[in-house]
Order: sequence, then C-alpha cells, then structure tokens
Amino acid sequence: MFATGFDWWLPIDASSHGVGIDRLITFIHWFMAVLFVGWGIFFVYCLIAFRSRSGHQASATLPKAKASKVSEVGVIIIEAILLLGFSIPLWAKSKGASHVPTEDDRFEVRVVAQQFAWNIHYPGRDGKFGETKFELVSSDNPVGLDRSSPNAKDDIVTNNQMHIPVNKDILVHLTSKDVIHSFALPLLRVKQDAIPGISVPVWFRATRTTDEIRELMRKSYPVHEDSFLYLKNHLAVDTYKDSDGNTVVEKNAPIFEDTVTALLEAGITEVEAYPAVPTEIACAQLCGLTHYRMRGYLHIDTEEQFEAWLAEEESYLEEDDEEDY
Amino acid sequence: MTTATKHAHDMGDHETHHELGWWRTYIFSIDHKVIGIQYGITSLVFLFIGFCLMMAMRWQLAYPGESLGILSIIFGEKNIPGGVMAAEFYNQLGAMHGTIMIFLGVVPLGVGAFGNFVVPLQIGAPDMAFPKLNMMSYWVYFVGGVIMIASFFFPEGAAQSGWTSYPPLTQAAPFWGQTMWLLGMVFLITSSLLGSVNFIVTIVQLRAPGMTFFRLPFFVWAQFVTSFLLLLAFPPLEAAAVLQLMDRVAETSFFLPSGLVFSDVPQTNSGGGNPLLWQHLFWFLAHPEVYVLILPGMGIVAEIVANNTRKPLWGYKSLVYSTLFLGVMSFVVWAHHMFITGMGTTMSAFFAATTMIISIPSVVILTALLLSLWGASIRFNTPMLFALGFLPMFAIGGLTGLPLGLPASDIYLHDTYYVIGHFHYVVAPGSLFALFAGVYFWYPKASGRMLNETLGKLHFWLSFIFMNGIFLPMLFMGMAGVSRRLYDHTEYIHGQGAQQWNVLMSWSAWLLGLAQLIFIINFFMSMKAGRKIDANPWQATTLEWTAPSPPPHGNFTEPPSVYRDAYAYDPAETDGFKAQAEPG
Repeated sequence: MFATGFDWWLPIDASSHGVGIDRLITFIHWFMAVLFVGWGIFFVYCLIAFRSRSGHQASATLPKAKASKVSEVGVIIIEAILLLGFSIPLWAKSKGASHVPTEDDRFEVRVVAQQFAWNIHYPGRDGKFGETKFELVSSDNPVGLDRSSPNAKDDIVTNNQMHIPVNKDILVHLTSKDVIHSFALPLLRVKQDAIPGISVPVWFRATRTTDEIRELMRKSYPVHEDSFLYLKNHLAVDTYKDSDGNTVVEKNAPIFEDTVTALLEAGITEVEAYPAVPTEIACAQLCGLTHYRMRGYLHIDTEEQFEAWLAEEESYLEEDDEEDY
Repeated sequence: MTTATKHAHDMGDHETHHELGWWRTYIFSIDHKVIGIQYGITSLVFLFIGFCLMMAMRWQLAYPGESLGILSIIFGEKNIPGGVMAAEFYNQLGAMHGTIMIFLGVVPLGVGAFGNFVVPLQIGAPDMAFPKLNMMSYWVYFVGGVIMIASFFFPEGAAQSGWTSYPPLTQAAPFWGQTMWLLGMVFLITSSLLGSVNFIVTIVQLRAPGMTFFRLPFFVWAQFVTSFLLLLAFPPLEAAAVLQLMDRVAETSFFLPSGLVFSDVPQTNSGGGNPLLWQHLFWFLAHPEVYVLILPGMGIVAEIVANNTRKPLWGYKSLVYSTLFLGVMSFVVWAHHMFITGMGTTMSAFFAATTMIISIPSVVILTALLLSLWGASIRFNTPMLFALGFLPMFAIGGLTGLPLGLPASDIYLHDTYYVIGHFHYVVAPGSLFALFAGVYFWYPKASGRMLNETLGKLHFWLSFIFMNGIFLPMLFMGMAGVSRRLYDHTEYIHGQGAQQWNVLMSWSAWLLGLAQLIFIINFFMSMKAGRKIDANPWQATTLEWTAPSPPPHGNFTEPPSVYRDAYAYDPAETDGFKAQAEPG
C-alpha cells in the first residue's frame, strides 16, 4: 500500500510500438535482477563464510571458478540476443528511415520547438505545408509561415496544443528555432531531440484517445495542505459539496490551489480526480530558464473529435481572412 | 636542475638536503606526496561544495516553491528571493554541481591525489618523473577551480546550461557564466594533460629494479590506463571548448546553424555550424571520462580487497587485460549518449554493439573481485567496508547502464532520472566509496596515524544507507518517466505521480551531508589523536608499506628492489604475507 506520489514503474502505454519497448525494458530488468541476486547471494555467502575469526585461515589456492566463465558467456549471449533480437528491430521500426509511414495513410504535422513552447504546424485539408521563412518569424507568426505561398492558405498553427487522430500513423517533422529541445511523449514511448537546423522525422500511432486515458488515470487523492502538488492540472471527477450543500468544486472543473483550501475547509478528506490532459508533451532536454514548464498537450482524438476541432480551427482562419480584407 | 629537483632524484641523499622554506615545503612543493595531499584536500573541499549545491537544490525539489529563509542568507537574496530558489539559480546549481563533482572533485581525488601520492611509492620511485610539471598540474587545476567558483559572483551568475554545455543553449545563456566555464575547462583540461604525461613517463621509466609490468599493483595499472584516457580524450574537448569560446567572443559559428531565432529575434550569426558537432567532441571525452572516474576507484578496491582477504587477487591478469580492453573500447562508445539526436539504425546498432561489448570487461573485473573473496579470511575494517560496499553499488550502476545502452529501451529512458540514478550509482556509491576506502587505507601512510575505526564504520553505514536513499528512487522516477533537470517536477502529471520520492531523496541527501561531518571530524581529529603506526599497519605487501609512515622526501630509506608479485599473501608466511621488497 503506497501513498500517492510513489510511482515507480512504466506508466500506461498508448502507442502501437510501446508494447515492444515496455516488454524489452521489463525483460532487461528481470535479467538485471537475476544477475544482481546471483552475485548478491555469492557475495553475502562469502562475507559470512570467509569472515576472519580465530581458527580460520585464508586458503592459499585460488578457486578454479568455472561458474564465472559460464556467467560471463551467459551475459554475452543474453546481451547479444537483447541487441540483435529486440533492440535493433524495435529501433528500425521506430526510427529507421525505411519504416517511415507511407504517404497515403499518414497524418503529417510539423513541430517547431522554441524556448519554451511547442509550435504545431498542420498542413490543413490540402495536406501540403505552406512555405516558412525564418525572416518572417515573430511573436504573431511563430513558425514564420508565409501566408501568401500557395499551400499556406489552409495551414493551421497552434501553440502547445497538438491534435492527432487515434489509430492513424502520425508523421512529425521535428525541428527547433533556437536551442536543442527534446520532444517527449512519455505515454506514447516517443522521444526525439529537436535540433535547430535539422528536421528529423518522428512517427508513431496512438492506440487510445486522451479521453480513454484520462478515465484510466482517475484516482482518489487525500486532501491535505500539500495536495495541490499532486492535483495541479487535474479535474474533479464529481461535484463536491460542503455540509451546507454549497458546491466546492463542480464536476469536471479544474482544481486550483484555492480549491484545495476550500475542500479542506469543507472537511472533505478525499477527492477523486483525473488529469485534464494526461497525454503531455514534455521537453526532455534542458533548454533554459523555464525548461521545467515547457509543457504541451497532446490531444488524441476520435475521428469525430478531430473533425470538429479541425472545423473550428478553420473557422478562425476564415475570420482572420475577413479581418485582412 | 635546481637543488630541489636534484634532491628529489638523488636517492639516499635526502637526509643531507638543506631545509626548504615553508612555502616550498607545503604550498609550492614539488614532492609528489605533498602535491597528492594538496590535490586530496582541495578535491575533498570541492566535493563538499558540489554536494552543498545539490543539498540546496533538493529543498526546491522536495518542497517546490516553499520558502526556506536560511537559503537566502547563504546564497543571497538575488538567487533565492524570499527563501524560494529562482529557476535560473537552480539551473546554475545543476550545471555547477555536475562540473564540480566530476572535474574538480572525483577526477582530481582519484587521479591527482591518489595517483600522485601512491603511484611513485608503489613502483618504488623517489618521486614523479617531472616534479615541476606535477606542481604546475596542481596549480593549473587550482586556478581552473577558482575560475569555476568565481563565476557564481558575476552579476548573472555561473554557467547554467548543464555540465554538458550544449550549444546553442550556451549561446543563449548569459555571457559571463558560460564564458568563465569554458575558460575554467581549458585550465582543468590542461592540468589533466600535464598530469597524465607525467604518470605515463613515471610508470614506464621509474619502476624499481625487479618491478616488471606484471608485478605492478593493480592500482598502478588502473592509473596507467586512466592516464592514457586523459591524454587522448581530453584534447578534443579542449579544442571544442576553445571553439565554443570563439562562438561567444569572436562571432564564429562552429556550433551554430543558420536560421536561429532567439526569443522571436532572427539571429545574424554567420551560421553553417552544427550543434551536434559539439556533442560528438564533448562525448568523445566524456565517455572515456566515465572510466577516468571509475578506474582509480577499481584500483583502490582491488588493493584493499587483496589486503583484507589475506590472499592474492583472483585473476590479476584478467583484471589487467580487462582494464586495457576497457580503455581501448571506451573510445568507441561515445555516441550512445546521442541515440535520440536522430541516429539511424546502422549507427545506433554500431554504438549499441560497442556498448554491449564494453560491459563484458566490467563484468570480468567485478567477477574477479567477487571471486577474490572465496576462501578468504576477511577483515572488516573501515577501508574494507567501503571497498565491499563498492561492489554491489557498482554492480547496480553497471547493470542499469544496460537498458540505456540498448537504443530501443533508451528511447523511453533517455534524459530521465533513470540516467541520473545510473551514473550516480557508478560515481557516488561506486567511485566515491572506493575513494573513501582509499582515504581510510592510505591516511596512515600519509600521516603516520590511523583514522578512528568506530567513526569510520559509522561513516560507512550511514553513507551506505543514505546514498541508496538518494539514488534508488531516481531509478523509479525515471521508470515513471520524469525528465532530468527540471526545477519543479510537479509541473507534469507524471512528475506529480513520482513527487513523493523527492521528499525521501532530499532527506536522505541532507542526512548524508550530516554523516559526512563524522568523516570531517575524524579526518582532523586523527591528525593529532589518531593511533600512531609503524610502516605497515595493514600488513600489506606492496612497496609503499616498506617506506616509513609518513615517507620522507625521496620516499624510501634505501632504494627498494622487487622480488615477487604484488599480492603474495599466504597463511604459511609469518603474518600471512611476504612483501614485494623482501628478498628470498
């Protein structure tokens, strides 16, 4: 029985390739455990059996130790199997150039990292990215998109909010404007450095939607003074009321620091919550002052959700166009 | 040749040499033992400073955003306004903790201190081959250290781009901190190069009659290989540091690509450079550096294990060959630190294969040390406790390298706390335990007095418990997906899920800090109150124990000759051993 905050193993996996990676990590740890326990038993036995005491002398002869040869050869063989049998094929599938998803069945998106945000550039319905120029980069145009270029009309650029359809191959063209960042999706077992001057392809397929994962991650949290550390960016699963029937927090409302105080005052000792967006984009490479807050949100949508989001974004484009005229 | 160096080389003459002044004896000394002690004390001070930086960081990690007034008093209101650490200061502490621990702490302690003090004694030499170069090596190191520490006092503080200093982040960082870091590195690297040349020449040229290569104590072999690593791996980083310095001060673009935009401002640098070039040059040093951190420790452990099992090391030759193999292989594994930079299948497979291969000699070394315990008569004194503690801790450090060395599992674990846990197991309860073992083992030789055993054992057990309290949770946090170098883990959902570990780790770190006070007290108290000892308190075989404690200028009362292998422990002999220098 562990209190909140002692997670110690792999989190939920929501990708098609993650199963292989998780299996490899688990297997390696079993292998490590066997070696460590084996050595450990020998070690502890020696410390006890061969401790210095009266009447005991060191033996002048050295042990033959066939077992050491066997264990060394065993380690070589298992490492070779892990590398050749598991790691290389898995890597080839996730990172090898010949496994990039084919053009007709993939969803493409550009991700341009900057201190300290993720800019997501979608090609729009035409499936073609408009031209970008670095001279055009400004705070209003974070990727330097040239709206006058032929393919740029329907392009959508968002900040820290990345929408992708579930069960479809996603191809991300990843780069950075300034320093090296690392595009990490812990729940999808994806990690790739974003390097200025280089565009690196990253591909994966999500197998669960964000809504499904959120539901899987609902948990009961004890309410105490420090609870906000664990409830930041969480939503309340239900409506909570105090003894007079006044609502303290509504169903699916975000939990703030004040909410925790209000819950405490209302004498509520436990609250059920889930993360607002459990599928986070984390920056895994130190990128400067607020590296720790360079968080993006990956929304893995059903086809309908994705279509609705796309239509909404397109409507903003039209509004912008009208403003331009 | 000056009078002093002449004396250093005129063995047997040393009783008649004129007295050197205080400055020449204790400060600008060319005696390898004094230089070794200077290195030792300086690096222990730096280790403590580096540890203090981390203890401060651990407050922010365990209790993010909470105020602790005393921190403002220690580190200044600017860095810790109202007792809450500023994020930029956290990054400075992170970068400087790594830099100080590695370049100013562990390497100078393992190589500068123990190498200098022990190697000439163990090979039966009166001093190092180039005593003045030796003195220069220490002072260049000292200046490098002062530059690093001084960088904290610039208006925008010290370097804050990690100990790896990846461009273009360094380019975007405040000017003086990073520039001072690069200057400091140039000094530290120069110091290491001067030292390594000296060690190689000393070991090749100054061995006593009869001291063949295969009679060398394993510690000397470890230092020999370490010196080659320093000599061959550091120059590329020195060049890279100068290139990065040029990018900062002369507007070159060695590591800066075209089209950079910092804070929405397109940069006007000439471009055409590549930030990955820095990573290659950096890791070309920094991977062999891992072995520079661990090999002297392994050497110390081997000496102490042989001495306290009262029998010869198991597989001395396999230890030596494994170390040589490690040394060579360590030059072809560096890019396993860069799997996630966009590497294809072939390159990643190559570096993964070399990484798997390099794990084999480590397994051989560990197995040999474990097998050395079989049939022994183990004395559990303080140096032996630390040496024994090293074995399982290094095993954890080594084993956790496996999922990081395989590219597929590295995708998930790369840049997480798992990496931090892995290398800290290698370097902290690994190397540092070995180095503490060395301090307890050779302190009597350097001072003529024993360290207190009770305090030593207490120091060991508390360090053992609290080190695991810090580093084991790191592996769990990494498995949960928490990235390294985050000022506040609770910003991420997966960070919140593992946040409680931080509280446990921080308390372990602070208690570990307290436990070190026991060592500090013991260290100074024993100088005056420690039990006085003769030349060979541990009943050891190697040559340093035939010299008086402490050894005089010139080391030996008469030039030693060597008659046998390094570890002739045998219960049939008087006192259970026969010294290397004992005829017959």
